[in-house]
Amino acid sequence: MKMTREYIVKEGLLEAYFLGELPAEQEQQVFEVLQSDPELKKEYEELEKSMERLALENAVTPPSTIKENLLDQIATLDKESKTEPKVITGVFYKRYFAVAASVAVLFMTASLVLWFQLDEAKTKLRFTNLNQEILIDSINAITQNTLQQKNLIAYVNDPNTERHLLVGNKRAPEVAVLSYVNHEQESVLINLHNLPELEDKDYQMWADVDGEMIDMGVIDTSEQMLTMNYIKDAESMNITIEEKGGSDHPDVSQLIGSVAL
Amino acid sequence: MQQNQNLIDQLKEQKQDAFAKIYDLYSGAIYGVILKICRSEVLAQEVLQDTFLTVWNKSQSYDEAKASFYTWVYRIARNKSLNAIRNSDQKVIQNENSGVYTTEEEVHDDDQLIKIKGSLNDLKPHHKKAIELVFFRGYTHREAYQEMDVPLGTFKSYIRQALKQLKENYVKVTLIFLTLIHVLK
Repeated sequence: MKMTREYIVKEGLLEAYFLGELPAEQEQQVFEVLQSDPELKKEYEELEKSMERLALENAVTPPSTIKENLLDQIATLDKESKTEPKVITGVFYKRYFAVAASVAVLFMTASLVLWFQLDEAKTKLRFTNLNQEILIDSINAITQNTLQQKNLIAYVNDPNTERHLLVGNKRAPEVAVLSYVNHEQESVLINLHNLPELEDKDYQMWADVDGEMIDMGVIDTSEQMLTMNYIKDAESMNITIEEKGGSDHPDVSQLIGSVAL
Repeated sequence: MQQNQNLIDQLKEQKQDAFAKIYDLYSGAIYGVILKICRSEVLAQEVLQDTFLTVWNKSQSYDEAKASFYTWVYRIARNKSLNAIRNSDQKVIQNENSGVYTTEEEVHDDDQLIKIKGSLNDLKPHHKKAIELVFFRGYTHREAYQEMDVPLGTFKSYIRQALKQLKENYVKVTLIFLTLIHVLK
């Protein structure tokens, strides 16, 4: 199977890539597609951010001994040789020592409390930074979305755009797909008003040209609006149920609806 | 992705300060994941330490072009966690054979440490479960769809829809947040 964006998305390879579960060869192939496909790359980065956000929401502060152990282990430098403590004798020194020890314990406790608070603050800060990034991404997405909506409205209101409602036959009477065909721009847009999701099968759209059925593309039911391939001189548009990923030739016994153009 | 690039560069140069800071930034999130996979605090602490030791030793092999830093650490932690539970399962079996009971305490589903918090709870239950199994419990796709008792195709679409929903929910929350700020001004 050739590695394409559709294949990667359908087969969940982006998730497997994130998990580091792909065999080396496949991982390299996905990596190459990501390098050449900015949109997919963006989707992958959003997956990474979602996962990091979920992990931060579920963060648990580990015991401080782990950090200490780690720092000990990686310390390559010899610890500075400590000066020998002076031996202090006498009651006065003993009392002095006791006071000093209490102060030290107090300081240590306070530092420990502060250290824990700092640790928590750092995690929160990291969370805030991440949220800010996602916020910016979201605003970009919303802006882009608005632009798309504007284009969509312009397209739908274009006097050259014809509307055709494709309703299901008796095999699937609930199906309703509204199509917008623009012969000037040579484009087809469909709105899935009602097209139930299929398990292990796909809907595919076909244009009838002089009795021959020509592929207009597989319908991605997770989308509301999608563009299909425009086929010149089509007399009708038809939807069939095909094997997952679509077929080269339609299975007309599985025709679920059509509309004349 | 904003990544504390300086810190990562310094880590690659084996600067201990940078390592300590990176540990502070990432250990909480990573420990949460490890705990959920290992379901034992003792084991999870070992794995966390081992994970960050690898982060230090293998920092040269981190490649920004391939994954975010979090993802890189997450992958290490996930692999080590899965190995650790596999090994400890073997130990349990050996112990059972020799009639010795394992004493390692386990955490349970309702334990605060492994209870799922945050936006994952806003998803439909089957979407939440799919994400939880794969990303927080370390299941492979095969194990996960068998566990959920649905066809593989359906399971894959659960994951896809869940990820989409997580993103959309976040946009919604963000919009409410922005509106609030606007109203409060």
